[in-house]
Amino acid sequence: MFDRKILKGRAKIVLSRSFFMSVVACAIVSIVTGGMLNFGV
Amino acid sequence: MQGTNLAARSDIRIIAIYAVIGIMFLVGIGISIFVAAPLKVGLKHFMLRSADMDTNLDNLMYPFRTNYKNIVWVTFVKNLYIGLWSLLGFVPMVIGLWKFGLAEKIAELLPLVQNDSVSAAMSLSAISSGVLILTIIFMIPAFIKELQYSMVEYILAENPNMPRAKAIGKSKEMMVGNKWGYVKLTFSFLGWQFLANTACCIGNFLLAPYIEQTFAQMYLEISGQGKDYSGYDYQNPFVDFRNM
Repeated sequence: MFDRKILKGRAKIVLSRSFFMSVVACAIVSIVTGGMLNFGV
Repeated sequence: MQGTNLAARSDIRIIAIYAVIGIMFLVGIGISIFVAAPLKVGLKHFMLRSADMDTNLDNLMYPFRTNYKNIVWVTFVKNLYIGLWSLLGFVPMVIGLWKFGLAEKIAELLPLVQNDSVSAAMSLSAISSGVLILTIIFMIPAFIKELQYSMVEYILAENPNMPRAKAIGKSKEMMVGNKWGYVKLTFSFLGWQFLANTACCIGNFLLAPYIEQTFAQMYLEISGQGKDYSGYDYQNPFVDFRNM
């Protein structure tokens, strides 16, 4: 079993460096898929 | 004569509208299978590479450069399985209509409800709540399957050549003991999602990377590749983490 807080902490560290690119990537996928970004699943 | 022509014209219009709707529906399904599903795998690859501090928009196109056919096939089968399991949700409705004559009962109750009959309204709400509760219960296997197959995209993002049975089997294996944690992780973003929705679409665009990256970290953790960023230097964020 994983610890949610640790995962979120790691995600924040990664995004502190790649946030803008990640926003662009998610926006591209969201637009192309018609908002079908079912997070994680 | 003119009346016949008008009727024929309206028939042609109706057929044309149905044809356009049908074509749009087929195009939509085609896009979701051949473009959207691989692109989602591309996003998982992008997030996994970002976790290694290799952030590049080119990673989004990874499925189209590698084994595209296999990725399309595996994601299609995964979604098909979940779709077939979801059909169980119709069972209470079908049994109710077929065995218990629900349609006739509702047709009897509706005029009474319109005449302000409290008992008829209560019977109608009891029937609809019963069907709803049973539908939710019958949907549970589909939810469980959705959770079991939730790692398939991440597995494909790392191994685009992995065959269907192996990818689905590996996802099932990985989710043993982690399903409830996954559900809790999903619900832990509800507050943020509520806040993001108040800021219209922009909020969701800003929140999506956080959610996606957290799930990517979850995949890395349960696949035994959990990252340790303990040496992270906030003053020098562009350090190479690939060997950490």
